[in-house]
Amino acid sequence: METWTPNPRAKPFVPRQQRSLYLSWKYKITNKRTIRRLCQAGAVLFLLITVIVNIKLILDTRRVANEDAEAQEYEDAVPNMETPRRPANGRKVLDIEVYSSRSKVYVAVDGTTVLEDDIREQGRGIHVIVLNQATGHVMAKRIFDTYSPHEDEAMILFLNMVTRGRVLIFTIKDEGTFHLKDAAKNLLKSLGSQVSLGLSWRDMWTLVVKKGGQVYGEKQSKSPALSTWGDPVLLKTEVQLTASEEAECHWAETELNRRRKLFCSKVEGYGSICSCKDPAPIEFNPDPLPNNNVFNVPVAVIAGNRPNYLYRMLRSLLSAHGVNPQMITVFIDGYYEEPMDVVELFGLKGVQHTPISIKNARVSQHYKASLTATFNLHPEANFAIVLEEDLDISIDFFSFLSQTIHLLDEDDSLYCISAWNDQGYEHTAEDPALLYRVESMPGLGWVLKKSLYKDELEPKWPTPEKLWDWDMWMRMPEQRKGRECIIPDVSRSYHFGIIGLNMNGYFHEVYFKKHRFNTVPNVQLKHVESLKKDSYEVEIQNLLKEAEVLDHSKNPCEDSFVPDSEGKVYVMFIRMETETDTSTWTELGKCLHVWDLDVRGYHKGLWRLFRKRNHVLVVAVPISPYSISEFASRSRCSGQMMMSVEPRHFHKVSNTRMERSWGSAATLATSCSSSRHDGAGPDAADHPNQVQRAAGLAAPRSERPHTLTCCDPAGRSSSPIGRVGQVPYS
Amino acid sequence: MPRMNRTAVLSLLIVISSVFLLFQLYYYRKYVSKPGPHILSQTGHLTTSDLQWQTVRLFLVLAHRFHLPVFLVDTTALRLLAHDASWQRELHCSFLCTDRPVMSFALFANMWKFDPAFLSAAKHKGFDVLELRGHDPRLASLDTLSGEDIPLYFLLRLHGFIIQVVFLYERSGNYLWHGPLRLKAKMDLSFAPFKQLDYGRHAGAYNRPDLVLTVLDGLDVRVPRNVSRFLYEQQHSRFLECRYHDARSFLQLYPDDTSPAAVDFHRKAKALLHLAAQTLAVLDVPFWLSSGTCLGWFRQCNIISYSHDVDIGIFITDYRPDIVTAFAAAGLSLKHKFGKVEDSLELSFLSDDVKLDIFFFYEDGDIVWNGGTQAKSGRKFKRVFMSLFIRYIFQRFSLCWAELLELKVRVPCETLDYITANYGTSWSVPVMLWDWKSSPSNVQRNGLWPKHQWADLIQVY
Repeated sequence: METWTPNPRAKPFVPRQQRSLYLSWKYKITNKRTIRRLCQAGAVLFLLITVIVNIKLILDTRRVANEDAEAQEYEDAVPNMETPRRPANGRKVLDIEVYSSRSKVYVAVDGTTVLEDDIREQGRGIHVIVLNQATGHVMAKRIFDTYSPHEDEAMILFLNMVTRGRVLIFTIKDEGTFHLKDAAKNLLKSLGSQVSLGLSWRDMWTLVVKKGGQVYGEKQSKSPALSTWGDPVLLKTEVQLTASEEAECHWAETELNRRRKLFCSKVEGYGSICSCKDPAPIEFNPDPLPNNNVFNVPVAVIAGNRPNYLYRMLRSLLSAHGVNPQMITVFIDGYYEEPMDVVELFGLKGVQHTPISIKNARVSQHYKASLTATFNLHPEANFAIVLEEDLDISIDFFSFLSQTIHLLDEDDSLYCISAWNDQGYEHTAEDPALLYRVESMPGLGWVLKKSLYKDELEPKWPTPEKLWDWDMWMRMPEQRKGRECIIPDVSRSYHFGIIGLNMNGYFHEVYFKKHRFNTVPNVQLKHVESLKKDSYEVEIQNLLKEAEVLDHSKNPCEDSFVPDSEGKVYVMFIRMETETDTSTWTELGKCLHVWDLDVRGYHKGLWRLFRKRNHVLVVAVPISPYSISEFASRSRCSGQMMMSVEPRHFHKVSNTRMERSWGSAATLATSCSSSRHDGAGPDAADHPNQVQRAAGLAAPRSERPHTLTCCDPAGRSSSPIGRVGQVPYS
Repeated sequence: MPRMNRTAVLSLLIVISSVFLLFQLYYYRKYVSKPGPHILSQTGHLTTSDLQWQTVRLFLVLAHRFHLPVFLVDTTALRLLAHDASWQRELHCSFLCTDRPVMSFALFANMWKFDPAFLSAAKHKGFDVLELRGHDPRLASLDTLSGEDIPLYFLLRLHGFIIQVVFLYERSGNYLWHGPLRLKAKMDLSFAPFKQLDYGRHAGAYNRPDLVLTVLDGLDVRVPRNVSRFLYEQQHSRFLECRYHDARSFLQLYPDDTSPAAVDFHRKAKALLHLAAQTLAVLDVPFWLSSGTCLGWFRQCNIISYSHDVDIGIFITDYRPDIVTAFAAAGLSLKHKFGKVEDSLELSFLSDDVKLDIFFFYEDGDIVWNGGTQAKSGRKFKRVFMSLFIRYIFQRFSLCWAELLELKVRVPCETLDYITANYGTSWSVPVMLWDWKSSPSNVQRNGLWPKHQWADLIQVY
């Protein structure tokens, strides 16, 4: 078209009327050849120009659009990586000093002390430090007390998680070989140690090595005799830093991987999160909930300096259905870097709190500051979900809360909703859809109402000089005022913390490990409305009407006490004269293998749990209002039958503090112990401050002897109905 | 044949060129821009107002794309809107072209998940971008918490025009807060005419405005529903953060009383203050914290637990006779009334055994004063034996917003002067027994009320 030009010298144009209405009309009115020609030429020219301009415009806009796209790509690539680049030839060298002795260890990198431990009776074992091979930054610091059993396994686990190429520094303080098994020694050998196989009692040893690479230095001094330690050793060596490219993985350039890269350049010991091929995800995208009533409820995660725990916790939290990461804030007690790194890895909001006071009071002050800040950050919120860093969160945690949270608004007799059932062990919890009301406040993943906090708790929160546990304080009658908490039969949180202010491995093994944890998604809860104050009583009465009384002449500790039926409701009675008369329950708790360190998880003197898939109601007589119904007549024993404990076998170790997790559920333990039968008893009483021991006191449970008797309502002792252990009833 | 051909070709050309014309329109709309005012402008080149309009439009397009919940808060533009000045200005850009190089928008910060892509997109569109961050005030409390700095302002510059985006954060007193705009040393001090910015000289507090979506100069913009109310608020929006750092030091020296009685008083005083604020808000009477309550806010960010009352001040020019009835309706009974509207008026209400004292302040040249009446009355006959009246003198002050007990309240901006006037320079030391007749340093004895007026001037219920 563009090449077409009108040819005025061609044949003269003779208009013909029939050709076109327009032309004929034009012809008629002008009737002059030249004008007509001019007009025609002009029209053609105009059309041509229009066409050309149009094409140019289209081409131009195309080009601009393309440039836009390129610029966009370029900008995406900009945040790529700001790794500090050193000149390729000037690779830096790190001077490393490692010291190992009986009473002191230290590690200095380029003159900066990165580890120093000379505190008596602390830090025994093998200290391990991981350095970034490109920057020389400390990425992890661990102590493995390989004098004690199983710590070498933890060390193997840890060393295997460390990325290849990192610089590992080992040093022994005091003793680190007693329980260092061959597997660990072989691993050290494979890392490059020359002497690991020969390491023995009270040897001093240091090693600097690159994982999967060269050995920078190793020193050992043998212990001359059993009773003495090897001479202190000081290892001085140099480590050549590598280029940062070699220390990094090449993940796809995304916002997520930018966070991952930053995290992996700083810390070690998080396993596959930093693996170059197929790293573990840091974004989970769980299913949303259809009607999520807790989507806009702020979630406060209370944390200390246990970054590995926090990592595990946040992973489970971010995988729960219906989670809203925008509402999560992690409150870190102290200016610790690594927990903050974990928070940033997941793209969450982290807040650091200057620690106030010590021990329990520090935790308590941290709780207060965190709760206050949570409601400040979310002024529109009426509730807050409070979590701790050592909890796994069930996949239907938010679904559970979404179905129950309205109860807090509608029922003034409620104190909280908690995800934790103190008595919900693997063998005593059964129904994920079942809910209870309990008078204790379990914590461990719970919902706090703003008005409760602002109007009641915050103004009188224990001051820093009071070394109280916040949860103990919250359970006190002055605060709780007779209100109750809603809990599920099967817990929606799992307490995995083993180390903590009030926690140790043994305690965890006995009381927390076998806790039942819900893994079923989208559980539709049963009878939520009947959890309200009055309807719950109706519910209980119905249950009691339906219930069969268990044969109280049998030993409740024996398996046959509950018949081998399924889906039935049974009731049993235990003696409880006053609120503080807890010995019978404690004994029963021991043989049921549930929480027996204090009395928890009851509603008006009634416990509900499952045995062999049967619902068992335990009624405390006479303090429970449920003990005075028509059951007495239905009871098989003459009069009212109940379990009771021979009091003389037990004495109370009052105010003994139990070992508890960092702010976890626990109270003052009124630990029952029989001085006659329990060797640990007096020991614990002698060391009221040693919380571990006090907890350990409840120790070898199966060996704890106790005697349960069947009593009549008058409280007279009658014939023994159960005996465990060697001590006969006399 | 060629003749017929030529006509055919001509008509074909016409058809094709009209198709191209349509294409051109389509492309223009899609890639270049919607027909803006400069298309209409007579001169053919872009005028300043066209540039401003373009800048605003580009910003709004971006804001829409990234779901920024913004609304117009530019005082000049809103003023034009309030007076509907469109008839006297250019037709195509009557509100958004303000002759000022700045246009301000506010953003509901908690309704927008911060997206750094917005800024890079703005840069890409040609904007120069300055992001200003600051401490999160919601973490400021008696506890020492530190979190990530939060964004306070975006300044976007294009063609010499500045779009100021003010981040409004929801605070626990149910109000919106924006931070002060402070430049760091290494920032570009000439980035914008900072003095001309409407927002940022001080921190500010606002009630949450009702918004309406409207079309201004062909652009979809959200504006406050009640524009004049918003403009009034804007003028008196200055916000003072409590001095938590000093309060912490004070509380270390003099720890808070957590006895049940103190906690109880705290609860009641909070309820009373909320009730008073609510009642006076309905009457549209501005008030501020005075005397002990003001000292409590300033010194310890809280109520002084041994003060036993709540004190507020109101300018006598704002006095309305229905204050008493309104308080009565809210459940507060009048306890006593001293003075008269013309002189030394003071009202006391009682609720739940906590007293609410309302002092009325009189402006007199450079000073402001309020009166106090000391009445000694015989119990038996309710007869007044003696009545002294005194004045407390203050330097003239303006009012600022502050937060106390989860409530947005006013305090004198020159709080230190105000408190020093009342309590002297040793205000930072708690004094349990305070004698209002003699202790204050600004007290001025005014003499005795004339005896025949006592019945009017001193009414005790």
